[in-house]
Amino acid sequence: MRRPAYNLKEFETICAKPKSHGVVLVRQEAANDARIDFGLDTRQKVIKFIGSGGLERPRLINSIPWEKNPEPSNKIMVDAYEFYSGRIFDYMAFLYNPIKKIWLIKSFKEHWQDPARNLPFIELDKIRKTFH
Amino acid sequence: MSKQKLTCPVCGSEKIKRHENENHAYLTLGERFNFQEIYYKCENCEEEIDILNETDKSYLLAKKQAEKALVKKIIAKLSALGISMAYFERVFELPIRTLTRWKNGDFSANALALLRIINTYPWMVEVADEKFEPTFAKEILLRNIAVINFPKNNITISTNPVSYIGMDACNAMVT
Repeated sequence: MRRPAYNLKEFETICAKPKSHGVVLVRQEAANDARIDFGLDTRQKVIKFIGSGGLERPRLINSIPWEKNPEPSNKIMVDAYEFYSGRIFDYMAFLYNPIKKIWLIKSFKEHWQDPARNLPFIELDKIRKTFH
Repeated sequence: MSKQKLTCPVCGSEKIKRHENENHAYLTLGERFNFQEIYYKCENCEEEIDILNETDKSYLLAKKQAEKALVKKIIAKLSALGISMAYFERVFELPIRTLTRWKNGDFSANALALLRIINTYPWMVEVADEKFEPTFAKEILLRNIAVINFPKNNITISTNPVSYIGMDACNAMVT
C-alpha cells in the first residue's frame, strides 16, 4: 500500500499560516504552471489556495525519494497528489527538508492523465464544444 | 553595510545563478502584458526559486496597469451602451462616485470581478434594477438565449429586442 511521507493536513495547515508555522517555497516552474493553469498568479496565492482547502478530493499518487537530493544521507521524499479544483483535474508534488526546515512545492499543474472519474467532465466538454 | 550572500533556500548551497528573462501573461478579458521573470538556479540541487520575490513584484506591477486599462475599457463600453455610472451605482447599491474611483485606478479585485460579470452578462444591470427578482431574472436570461447566433450552421434565431441590454450589447462588449 502506498503511504505518504508527510501528513497532507499538516502541510495544508502550514500553508494557511506559513509565517508562523513554517517556510513554504514554490519552485519557479510550479509558479508559472499555477499561473497559467489556475490563475493563481503569485506564490502567495498558490500557498494560500492550498491552505484554504483548495485541494478537493486529493489522492496520493506516489511518494518517492527526491532525485536531485545533494545529500543522500539526508533522505528526503517527494509526495505527489492528484486532486480536483472545481472541474479541473490537477497534480501537485512537494517535499520537506528537515535540515533547512523548508517545504518546497515542486509541481502544481493541471493533470492531463485522464482517469475514469474524469470522463463525465470530458464528455460534458465535448457537448459544450458542439454547441459553441 | 555588507550585503548578505544569497544561498539556495532548499539545500543551502552558495552556488546559485541569477536568471532573468522577459515573460508575458494575459489578463482575463484584457490585454497581454509583459513582466520580468527573475529566479535563482542552484547548481547543487538544481532547484529554481525566486528567492527575493522579484518575479511576483514585477508581475503584480504590470498586471495592475493592465487591470486599470481594462476597468476603463469596460466602463467606457457600459457608457456607450447607455448604462451611466450613476445608474450602475444606483442599481448595485454602491456609494456615489464609486465608478469614478474605479476609473481612476482605485478598485479592488471584487470590483473587477463584478465588472467582468457585467461585461459578460450586461442584462444583469436590469436584473439588479428589478432587485434580482427571480422570475424577471429567468425571463431576461431566456430572452437573451433566444437571440444567440449560430454561425457554424448559418442559423440565426432571433426575436425582437426584449432587453435594452441584450445579446447585441453583449457582443459589443470587450472580447
